[in-house]
Amino acid sequence: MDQELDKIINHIKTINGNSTDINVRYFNIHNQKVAFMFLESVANDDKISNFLGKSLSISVRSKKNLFEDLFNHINNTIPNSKVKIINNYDDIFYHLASGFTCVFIDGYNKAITLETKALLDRSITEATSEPVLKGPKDCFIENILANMGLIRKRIKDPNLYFEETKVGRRTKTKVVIGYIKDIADEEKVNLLKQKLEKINIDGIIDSNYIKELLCNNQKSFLPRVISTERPDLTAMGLLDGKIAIIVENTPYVLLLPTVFVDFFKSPEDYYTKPFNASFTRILRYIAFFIAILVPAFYIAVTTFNMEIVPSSLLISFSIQRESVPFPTIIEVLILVISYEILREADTRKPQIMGASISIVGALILGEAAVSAGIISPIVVIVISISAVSGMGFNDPDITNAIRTWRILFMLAACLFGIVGIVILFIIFITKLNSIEVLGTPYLAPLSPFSLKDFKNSLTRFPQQKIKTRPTYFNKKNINRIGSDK
Amino acid sequence: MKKLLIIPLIFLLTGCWNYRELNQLAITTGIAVDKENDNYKITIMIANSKKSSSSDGSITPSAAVYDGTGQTIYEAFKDTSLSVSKQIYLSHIDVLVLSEEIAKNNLTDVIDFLFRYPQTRNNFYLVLAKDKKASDILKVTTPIETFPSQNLAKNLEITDKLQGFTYTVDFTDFTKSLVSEGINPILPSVTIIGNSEEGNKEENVQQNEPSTYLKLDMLGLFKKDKFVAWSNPNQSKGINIINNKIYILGVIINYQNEKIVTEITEMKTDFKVENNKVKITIDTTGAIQEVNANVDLYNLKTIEEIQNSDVEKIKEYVNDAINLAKDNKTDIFGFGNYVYKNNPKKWNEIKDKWDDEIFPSLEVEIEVNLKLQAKGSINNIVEVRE
Repeated sequence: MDQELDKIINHIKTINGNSTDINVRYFNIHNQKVAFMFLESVANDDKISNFLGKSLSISVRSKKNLFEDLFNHINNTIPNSKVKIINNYDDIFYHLASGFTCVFIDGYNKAITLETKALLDRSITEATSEPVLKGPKDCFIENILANMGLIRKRIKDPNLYFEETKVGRRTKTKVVIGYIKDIADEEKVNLLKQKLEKINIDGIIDSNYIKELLCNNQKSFLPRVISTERPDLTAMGLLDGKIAIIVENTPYVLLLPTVFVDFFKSPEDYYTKPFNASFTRILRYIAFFIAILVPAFYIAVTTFNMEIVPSSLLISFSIQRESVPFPTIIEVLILVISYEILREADTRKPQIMGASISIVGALILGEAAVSAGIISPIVVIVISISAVSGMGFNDPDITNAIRTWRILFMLAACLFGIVGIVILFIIFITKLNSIEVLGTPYLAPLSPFSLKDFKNSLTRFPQQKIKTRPTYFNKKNINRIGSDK
Repeated sequence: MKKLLIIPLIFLLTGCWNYRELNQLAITTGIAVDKENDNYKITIMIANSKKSSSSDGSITPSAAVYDGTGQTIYEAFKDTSLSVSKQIYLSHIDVLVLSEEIAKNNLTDVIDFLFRYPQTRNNFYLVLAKDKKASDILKVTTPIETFPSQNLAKNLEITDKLQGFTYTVDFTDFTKSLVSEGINPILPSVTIIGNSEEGNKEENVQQNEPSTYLKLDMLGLFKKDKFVAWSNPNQSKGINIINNKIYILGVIINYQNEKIVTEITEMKTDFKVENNKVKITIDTTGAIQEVNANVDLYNLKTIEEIQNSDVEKIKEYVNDAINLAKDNKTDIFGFGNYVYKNNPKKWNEIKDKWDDEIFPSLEVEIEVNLKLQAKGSINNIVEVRE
């Protein structure tokens, strides 16, 4: 860094192409040139006027002997909680872009920066994509510090570590790894750090970028990382030995390693009675399999394996299909794809258009298609059951995985009937079994089976019965109830 | 990656094996077999043949009956399919109706075809058409169930549970008793009450009192694969008692010249065959169901007397049944099967003369242990006061 003030200012202005939001103010303190610089777009004018204006004008009025070393004097007297001394241009621009104000003093090849961020974040609102009936309502926001705060607020253990790295050549996005030192598996933490370091990309806009870059091998279509907007779920995960990845400007925190059963858990499970929670959990598993298997099963029993349907039901299927001109698979595909289009439209369109979509969906897909003889009523029922079952999951990743597997199973069923479904199911289970996330088997605790962990996977036992943390994440500090921490 | 390429290739290699669209199938729910001039006449009932839309737009299926003739069962079926625009599909048969003539002469042909044919399952019921053509039985419509075949199958199932004198035989049971050693098959029968021509018409369903309907009748006794005799209701009860097929049985006795009905709810029969002697032990419980006589049910002696009469009545049923079987020289109870299972060596010596010589000369000893447990919701007869 240069020593002369004008050179510094000019340099910064040039590397930024004289952007309009750069603001510089010059002072003269006892014949020493001082300047402070900030980006209007990200800095808060009030804070700058309050802290910097006050501090510098006090300095101006003070006795001369105090500023034989003006730099130290300013550094010591600035009334701001975050003051840093920086001596290279890269850092200076990073801080300017982060809303800091830099103070340059002629003759010093370093700058004082102080935090004067403008409030560009929304306030902490209610969780919208993962709502619970009874439980904490707060949710993560785009501010990484606030997000860390929401977690720290829940876990006041000094062992809760937050380690920061910057990812993205241009965006220089802060990525924070959070874990509890004496619970989380060190190997997993190191592995994750290595993986993060290897990421070489121009920009990280959202935590999903990280998620995708961490596990790029997506052969099973199923998600391997939970991304949640709920601080309570994150805190539970950390206590289980998981590692949280908090990414700047993202209201979604990643939790990993994740296993298959995690997608069937909801924080709500721990806020209701154990029996009810177990019941709903089992319901979710049933819903998952209904969602992926029912259309395929319908195709199989109506085109290959009619023997397994009770006579009267088969006759009723047959009568309903009488006037339908298409093969069953086409009929089912028409409805599945229309449903997916409807769902996509519902997600993307502004809410003000809501009513039109549901009218078109209900009337055209339901009533009119049946009476026009394009689709038989039973197919509408089958697809509806399947669709409703798939809606029980709030993670779009798992919903999309359900969709993919549903269509794959349908194709298998239309080629080979029940045999096809069975074969594809074996492939499905094999795929799941072959996944490992940071060294944790994806199907744990079902395979490898572990009775201890089973209590809190398919079912949810009472708190005092779940004595250990999930053993598949970590080996140390295993007891959550009893002598240990 | 190469492995993955194989997967789409597999799809190219196969045709769609066994792929059928549901509306291309004629779902057959009932088959009737008759004999006509030395030819077989097959009548099939197709369940998904036509639909009648009601006013609210819902579709209700109704049945249609087609027939065909041929020198073999196979030909007869192919002849039938000439008049049906869909593929005849036999997996969902509810009931197989056999005419008496078929039962007397050609039963094995029918059984062989249905056993051999891969599509058929073996849980459909077999029933004899008594005094009527088998095809007519299939045609009788009923207001209670949608299809005549369904009506017949349900009737067999329910009556078997609620009455003691019918006997439900599905294909497995029948073929089992046909091929087992020392036991002969029995089949229930059904007959048409009213005019068989009328029963075919739609009006029959719309009347409150159908002019034509089906009624379950006696049991048909077989010797090997040949039909030999009909039983009467009492003999039917006896057959069911020995074969352990009683769920509910009404025993009607005369007590002081009036009738008292006891309902048997649990009955377990064991028999032992030793040296030309059958010992039948029947353990059973019952409850008094209807009292027409003015008797004092508070009196334990009365109860005992009723109980004794019931026992005698049950013995009478059993004896009637055994005598009928003995007269026709057919062991429908499986006494021979008992010998075969317990003493195979001896069975090998006597099996050729069992039905004709040994079985008719068996001595029978019957022991009935009846417990009258209840007398219904009221004690004595309803007293009418002046």
